[in-house]
Amino acid sequence: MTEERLVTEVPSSLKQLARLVVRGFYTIEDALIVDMLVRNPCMKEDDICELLKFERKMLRARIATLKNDKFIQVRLKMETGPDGKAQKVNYYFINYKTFVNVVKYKLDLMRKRMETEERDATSRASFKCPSCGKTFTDLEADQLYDMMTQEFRCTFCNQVVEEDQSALPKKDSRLLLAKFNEQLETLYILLREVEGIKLAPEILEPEPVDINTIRGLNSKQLGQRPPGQEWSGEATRNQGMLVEETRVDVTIGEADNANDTSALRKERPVWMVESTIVTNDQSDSVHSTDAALEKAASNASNAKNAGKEKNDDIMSVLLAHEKQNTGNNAATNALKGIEPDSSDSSDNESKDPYKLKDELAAVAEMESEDSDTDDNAPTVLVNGKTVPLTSVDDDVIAQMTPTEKETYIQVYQEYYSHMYD
Amino acid sequence: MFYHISLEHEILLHPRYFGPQLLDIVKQKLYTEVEGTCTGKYGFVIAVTAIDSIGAGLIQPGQGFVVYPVKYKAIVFRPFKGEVLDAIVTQVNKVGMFAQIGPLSCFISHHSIPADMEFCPNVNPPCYKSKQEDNVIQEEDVIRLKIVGTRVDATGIFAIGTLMDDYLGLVTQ
Repeated sequence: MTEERLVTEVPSSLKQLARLVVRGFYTIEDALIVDMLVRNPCMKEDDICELLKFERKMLRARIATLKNDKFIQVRLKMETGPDGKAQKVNYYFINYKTFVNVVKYKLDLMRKRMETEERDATSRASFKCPSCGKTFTDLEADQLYDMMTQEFRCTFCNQVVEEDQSALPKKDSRLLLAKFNEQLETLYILLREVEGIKLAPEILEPEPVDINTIRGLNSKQLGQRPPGQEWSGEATRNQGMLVEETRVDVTIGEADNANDTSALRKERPVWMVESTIVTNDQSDSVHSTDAALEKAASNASNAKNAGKEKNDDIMSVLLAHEKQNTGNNAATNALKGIEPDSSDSSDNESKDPYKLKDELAAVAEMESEDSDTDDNAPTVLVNGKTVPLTSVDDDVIAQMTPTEKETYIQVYQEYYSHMYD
Repeated sequence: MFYHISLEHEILLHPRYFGPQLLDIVKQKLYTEVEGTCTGKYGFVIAVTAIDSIGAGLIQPGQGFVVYPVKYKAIVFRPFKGEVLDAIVTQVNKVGMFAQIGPLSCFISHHSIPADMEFCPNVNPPCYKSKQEDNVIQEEDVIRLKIVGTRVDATGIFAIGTLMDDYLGLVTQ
């Protein structure tokens, strides 16, 4: 094949170029029109209007701008309208070959104008003679300069010239061109990419697309790829721009709306209602061993009323431990004479007559602590039944109610924290 | 920019030089007449490097003078817009400064001097100084400038330069 192969679908770099150019230099409406024509190669005015929901007058104005700039092309077709009469219909499309040329031309024009501006900036009149009104540029500075007086003097009337403030450069024109190059680099890259591309005539002059196809209502043309062409994704890429009616129902002033809002009002979190500082036994599972100890100490001091001052601090702390964790200890129970399942120490404390017993229990406990650690295990409630802490396993935990589980975690932590103390 | 090019020149010689030293005199005259001159097209002729040929002299009728066409090679300096050059500051004043690049004089307007440098008229010699006082340009300093425009006359070249670009300004030795 000696003939160059023609590209039969618009390369994405070309499409990107088209979009970038209108995005960069035109209004958003123009950009949308071009977007539409990039997706759907050829569309009639009515369809664009319908899909973009533009006002027809405005659309015409925008299209006229784009047409004047040769970005989009128009093709006039005679069609039979719904009333059976023949009417002229404008079909719009992008001729990418022209498009690229137009872009190149415009960029060149911009660059030229900027270069002219730069040149003008260097040769502008920057000195003016106040008496004869003669103006001088920077380039004539050597002629103006008077070595003797070190002043700039007019070549005509020999008066001292002044700087012409009106001719000052607005901004640094030299940076302008650099900025231009920097900002439009993407366009130049894309232009280079599309340099050698030769588009097939059917791409340059595309056939009209039915609006139903655009809307995705006719999906039958999917998979109509001619045999012998590799799949590139381009064919299906812009399919199914399904424009569905989206409904937003707004009802104003209905009574139940107000009810809904009040019902939906969120419950205030616990930490907002109650103090987060733990003062009672409801410490949660995240409390450290320190907290547990502190709590125990405070309990102990509560328990010890008048006449207990002879106990030193260690003793009181130890006591507190005993009461909390070893409430079911056999020895203590025997001395106290209370029910073995009472794990709540405050119950014991309320019985002031047993103060002496508490002390004795503590002593006994201290003696037996080393020997019967295993027996010391406190109990927890599981499904209403008492179970020793040491015999709790996963199955037992599974049977617990949430509150029981919480208590279990608490007791478990306290128990083992004491072991490691 | 410097070029080494072939040039031509006509030497007008008085008849009194006719003699055995004639060609030497022609050469000598060429050097004095050509070196240091400036033409708009080729710029400043810096030095004649070689004399290729001295043509047959043509006696001017009624005068007795002889014209010798001479072909020679010379190094020329032709400044261009956009060229970056090192220059020596010769004059500093409030509208700008003058600098010398060999035979070429160049004016730098204060609009083309970085905005952070200000003219200080009260110091001796007057200078352009940056606010931090770490950058001072005064007479006799070497600066690097970029030529932004040239005015080429038949007999000379004048340039205007700028210091507003990367790596321009005072050259620290």
